[in-house]
Amino acid sequence: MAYPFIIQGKNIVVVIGNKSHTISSTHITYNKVLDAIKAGDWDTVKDVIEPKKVVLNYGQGNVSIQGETLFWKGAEMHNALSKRMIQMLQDGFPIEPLVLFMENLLNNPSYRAVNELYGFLEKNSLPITPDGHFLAYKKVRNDYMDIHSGTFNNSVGYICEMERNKVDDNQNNTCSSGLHFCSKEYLPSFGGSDSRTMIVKINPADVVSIPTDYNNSKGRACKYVVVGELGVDPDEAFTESVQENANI
Amino acid sequence: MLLHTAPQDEAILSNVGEVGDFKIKASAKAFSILSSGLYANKIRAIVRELSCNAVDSHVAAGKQDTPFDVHLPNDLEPWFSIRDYGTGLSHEQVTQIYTTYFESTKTTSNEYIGALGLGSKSPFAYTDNFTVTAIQNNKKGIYSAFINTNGVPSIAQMMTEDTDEPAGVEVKFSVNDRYDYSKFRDEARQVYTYFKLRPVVTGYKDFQFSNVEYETENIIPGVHSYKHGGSKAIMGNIAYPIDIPNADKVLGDLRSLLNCGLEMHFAIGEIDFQASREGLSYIPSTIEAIKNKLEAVNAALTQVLAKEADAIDNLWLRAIFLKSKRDSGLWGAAVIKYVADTKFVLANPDQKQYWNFLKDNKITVDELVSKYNITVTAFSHSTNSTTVTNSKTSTEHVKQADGTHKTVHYWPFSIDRGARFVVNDLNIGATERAKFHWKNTPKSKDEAGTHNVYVLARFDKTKPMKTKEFFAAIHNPPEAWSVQASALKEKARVSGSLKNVTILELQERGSGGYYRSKEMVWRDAGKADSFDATQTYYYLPMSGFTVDSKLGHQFDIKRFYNDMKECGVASLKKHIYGVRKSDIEFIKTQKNWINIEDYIPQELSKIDNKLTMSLVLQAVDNFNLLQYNSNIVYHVESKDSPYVKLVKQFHGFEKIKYSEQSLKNLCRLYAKNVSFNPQDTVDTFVAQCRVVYDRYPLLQYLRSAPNEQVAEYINLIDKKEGV
Repeated sequence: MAYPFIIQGKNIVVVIGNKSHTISSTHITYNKVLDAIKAGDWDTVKDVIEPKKVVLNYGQGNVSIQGETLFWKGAEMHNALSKRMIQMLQDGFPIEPLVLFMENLLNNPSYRAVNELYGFLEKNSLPITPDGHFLAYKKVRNDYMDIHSGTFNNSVGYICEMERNKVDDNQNNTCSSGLHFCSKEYLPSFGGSDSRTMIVKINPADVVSIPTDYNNSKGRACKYVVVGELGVDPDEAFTESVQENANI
Repeated sequence: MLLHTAPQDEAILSNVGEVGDFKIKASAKAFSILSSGLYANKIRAIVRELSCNAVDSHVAAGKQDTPFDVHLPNDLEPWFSIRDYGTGLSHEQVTQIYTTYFESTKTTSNEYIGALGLGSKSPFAYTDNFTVTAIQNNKKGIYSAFINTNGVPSIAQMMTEDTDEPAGVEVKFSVNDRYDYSKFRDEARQVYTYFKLRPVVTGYKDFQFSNVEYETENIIPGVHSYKHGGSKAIMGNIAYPIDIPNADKVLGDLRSLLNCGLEMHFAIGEIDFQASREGLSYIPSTIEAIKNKLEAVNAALTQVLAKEADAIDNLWLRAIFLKSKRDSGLWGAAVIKYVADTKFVLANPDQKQYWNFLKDNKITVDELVSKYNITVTAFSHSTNSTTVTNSKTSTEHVKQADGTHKTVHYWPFSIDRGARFVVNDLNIGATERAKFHWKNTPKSKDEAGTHNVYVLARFDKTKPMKTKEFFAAIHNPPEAWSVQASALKEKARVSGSLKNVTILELQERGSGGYYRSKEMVWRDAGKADSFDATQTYYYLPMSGFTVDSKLGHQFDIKRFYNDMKECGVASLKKHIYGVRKSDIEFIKTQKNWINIEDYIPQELSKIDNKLTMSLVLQAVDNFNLLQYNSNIVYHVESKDSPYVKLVKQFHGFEKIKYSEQSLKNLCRLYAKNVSFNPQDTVDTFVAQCRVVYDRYPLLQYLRSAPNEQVAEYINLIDKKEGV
């Protein structure tokens, strides 16, 4: 059955049953509602008019909502991840990368590393990959060796790895041992003029700590894969919440 | 709320032409002005207006104690809504009253906050579209209010049905901009501060209302004060800033009260407000109501102040209390009223200038003598200083009867919590003793800052002072503030004991820049009895700060110090103390104190071959290769090597860094019998050394080479040249 509605300017008002729904153009499902109304697809209108319902559907049973708070498999979701999820939903990505990311994250043995990683992801909009890892940057020497020791080869395709217990897990030791990665904000702070910037893929399970300096913009891991070299402005590099072409 | 809009006086018309009424054109512009243009802070206006309607509706339904619901926008529920449980609205009310600007059902009673008929349209200030859900008598209707294509507000019924939901109205609209979510939260927090019954807020996790902290509550019923900031009028849950035009003229002294963060509660209808409710409308009745309240506040403050002030018997203390209150905005007007009411003697009647609030107790110097037989000396002391400063009398030029001016000296005896009086009951002067006392006594809290001490002494020593009359003339400062001179601390007399002997110590200045740092100074090294009796000390006799040297005027302390330091004689490197003339006889009796000028010749006469050789070594061995080094010598194969022969002569001597000139100076001045002339020896060795260096030309380049290699080189040369 058709529902009474008004589409006007930035707003759509639809009355379904005895309840009025109102939605604006910036909301995650506005276009879906608009398309469905235009197509006369009233069942879809009913499904997509409430953002909450849409999020629940999107979460494929992993997500639940109490009040304004999102839960992932019963545990409260960190703001960084709920925001990321809604962004993914809005961008039209499938939920699977996030499901895999959450599974990987839960494999991280350190409670503190997990919490610090949330702060890192909240500050820096680094994309998630389809296999549930995330992408970050790494500055290297002109010959692709690491800047600090010159012993790790960071050419595309190489995997850098060290014992987890050799990585400093104290976030207050701002410069210490470990495989470092960073976000766009940190790039200008490190490396010489002839250094190269690599894109590295990191499993959230391998993150050890996020040092407190430089405003949560760098991190230490025990393993990463070099997946590319940055050839463009870092502003342009990571635009999507999920980076489809990141797998090697 | 009742509105006073009809004119009080009817217009009487006569002999006029056609009369026409003004009209308002129902145009897009007019509607836009009334719903959007009206409000400066649009989000706050919507929260406030819709909330006031909800409260009014609860009042109409007799449900004052039921809170209404507020939903704040968030990512998952991006809308703002207010749902009340009041009387609700019928279809007719929604389509007629709700949509008519200036239509209000509340203008007949002051029970309601609303009256203008504008608030319900306020969402148009933010959005083009909002829904109204009205439930009354088990009928529910959903309406969409929107701006139509002509820019005119319209309303469409979207749905109607029977319902058993409780009566009431919900107004809801979508918040388009995510950044506005927090603005709605902040404005809600602000608006609900003064709501008697706070609504139930959902949509924002851990929403907290803001609560006001008062400094003084209920100065009079319904008036509180904050610590800081401007004053507010509260009427019908809404806070309005008070900003009366020309407040100084309109309110006079009461004006200062408005700067004291007063929160004044008014009954609905008591004051008028702007149509936007963002401020008050200062019609005469509003100003009158505020003024009345301020007067009541001031009267209450005056009463409290008077009670407190009257309880202080001592006039000085009361004056100090009043002065402290006078400087606060809240109490200032009350103090002025109190001073005027009681004709308080220690305050100036004209106290527009707050720094001039208290009167001095002026008494001329002549009057002090003639009336009280008192002469005054005074000094001031200060928290941050260990010294005191003499105070002078003040002067005034007084016009005489004959038209000439005369300079009059007087003491002001200003009212001050730190002022103190010393009554001299001694037969000698007490000022120095008082100064000593104040310099050496910890000061009370009242004495922090800079304050005067007055020392009162008899002018005519044969007659007593009339202190009682004097204190009465200056209105009796607290008794505890005056003290007899005999009760003050006294400086201990210096006794003649030798234990008070003070020793000086000669030091380089060490500060004051490059040029002055090499200057010599005498510093206090402590009492003679504080020195270790088992140690030996070397001194110079002093006359003041000048050395009383055996050399007389030849003596130069800077050169002396330098020569002792640089002469290379280890036993002459001593700390040098200075002993004053008055103490010299005592020091001479002490076995461990030695006059260094006696000691120098003694030591110089001990200069032996060992010292000479060490000094020679220093003079000739530029490359550190001639000092006897057993490791090199061991590796040199030929024991007759010229190198070995040379260095063996230095066996057992250490190179000593020294200044030949300094040593010669000391010898010349203090040990004429000691002729120290190492030059001949030096010349001899220099010749020998040159021979060795010529024989081993690369030797000087081997100063940092290992011993074996030096020896190897020597062996090579020895082999080549033959020994």
